[in-house]
Amino acid sequence: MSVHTPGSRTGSGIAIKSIRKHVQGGGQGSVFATLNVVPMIDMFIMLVIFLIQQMSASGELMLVNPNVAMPRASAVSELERAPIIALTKGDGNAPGAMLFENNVVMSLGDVNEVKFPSWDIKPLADVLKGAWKLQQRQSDPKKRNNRKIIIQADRTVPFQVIKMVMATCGRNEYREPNFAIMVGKDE
Amino acid sequence: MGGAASGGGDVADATLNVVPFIDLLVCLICFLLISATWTQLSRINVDQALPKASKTPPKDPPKPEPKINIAITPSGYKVNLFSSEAHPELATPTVIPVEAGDPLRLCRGQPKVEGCPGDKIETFKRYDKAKLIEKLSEFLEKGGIGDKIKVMVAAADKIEYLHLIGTLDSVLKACTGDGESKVCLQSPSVGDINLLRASGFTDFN
Repeated sequence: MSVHTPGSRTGSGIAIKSIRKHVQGGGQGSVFATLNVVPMIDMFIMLVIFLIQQMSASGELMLVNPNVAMPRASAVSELERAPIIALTKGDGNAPGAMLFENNVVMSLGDVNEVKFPSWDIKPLADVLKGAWKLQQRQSDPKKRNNRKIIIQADRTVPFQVIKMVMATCGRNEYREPNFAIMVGKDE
Repeated sequence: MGGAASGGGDVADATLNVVPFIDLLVCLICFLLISATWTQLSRINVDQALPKASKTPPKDPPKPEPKINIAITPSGYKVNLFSSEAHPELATPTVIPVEAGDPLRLCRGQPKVEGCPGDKIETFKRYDKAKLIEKLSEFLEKGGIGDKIKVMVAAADKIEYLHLIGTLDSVLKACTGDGESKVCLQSPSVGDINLLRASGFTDFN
């Protein structure tokens, strides 16, 4: 390495002597003190890993109807993709509705044993038959034979409606009912 | 934060420029925070208990196995251990009454009742889930067949879905034993309350 004329040093262009001293690091505190960013980067990486771990796909698997307040439970299993039947709470005196994949099927006011004594809710049965037919076109045999169905009911829905919906699903190929809940300490 | 000793041809103590890396991490954190789904949804898996379609009884009926039955009635839980040869006395349903005192108050649309508008407050009865878990654990132990024991949950028509889920949650929490010998109840069946009439229940009031 050849010897060459040294260039200007940091702070040499500054006129005032005391400032120059500071800038050059001769004073008590240097202006060019380096900030140690390594702990910050470590923290950021930890935060990113934590957030990625916490990310859950279940929110994408199931849309929560705004008129459904789901109960909380803690002993639960992970959600899987399956057709969803939502049972909502009505507004005021109006009864709630039954939805299949977000499409209104009927009013919950019509779901009773007087109208459907054999517990086979015909409008729901028709929709389920159509969904099962569509499902049979899937190439994946696992998806084709998936008999799971998610029942997403409001916490105020009476058991009479739940049992009739379950019975209708069971008679129309969907024999594995799953109750959707919110994860948390039970009420 | 660039190259500190940039005067020479070879740089001995070059500093890595971490600014773009920090920028990337900050952007990633912002993206993850915005796109994160904070409401965690899950499921409770149940079996369906439907009335038997066949009217002709089988020629060699299998030996009945112990079975735990839970009826959710307006007055509380009614629980029994049916078909247990060792403990036939447990076939008589045990009543766990609804807790006295203030009803359970829940707010619609927010997790806490404090500050909830009056029309959004919903009230429910308080079922004694702690006692139910205790009773179920006792039955699980006395049943003598471990987690193979079947559990049937049935509710009266007017019982709200909240109580059904609360009961199913309690069933899945009932365990007996410690460590490796710990046994817990498995996925329960849900069905009509009248199915329990064949399992030692007479009234559901």
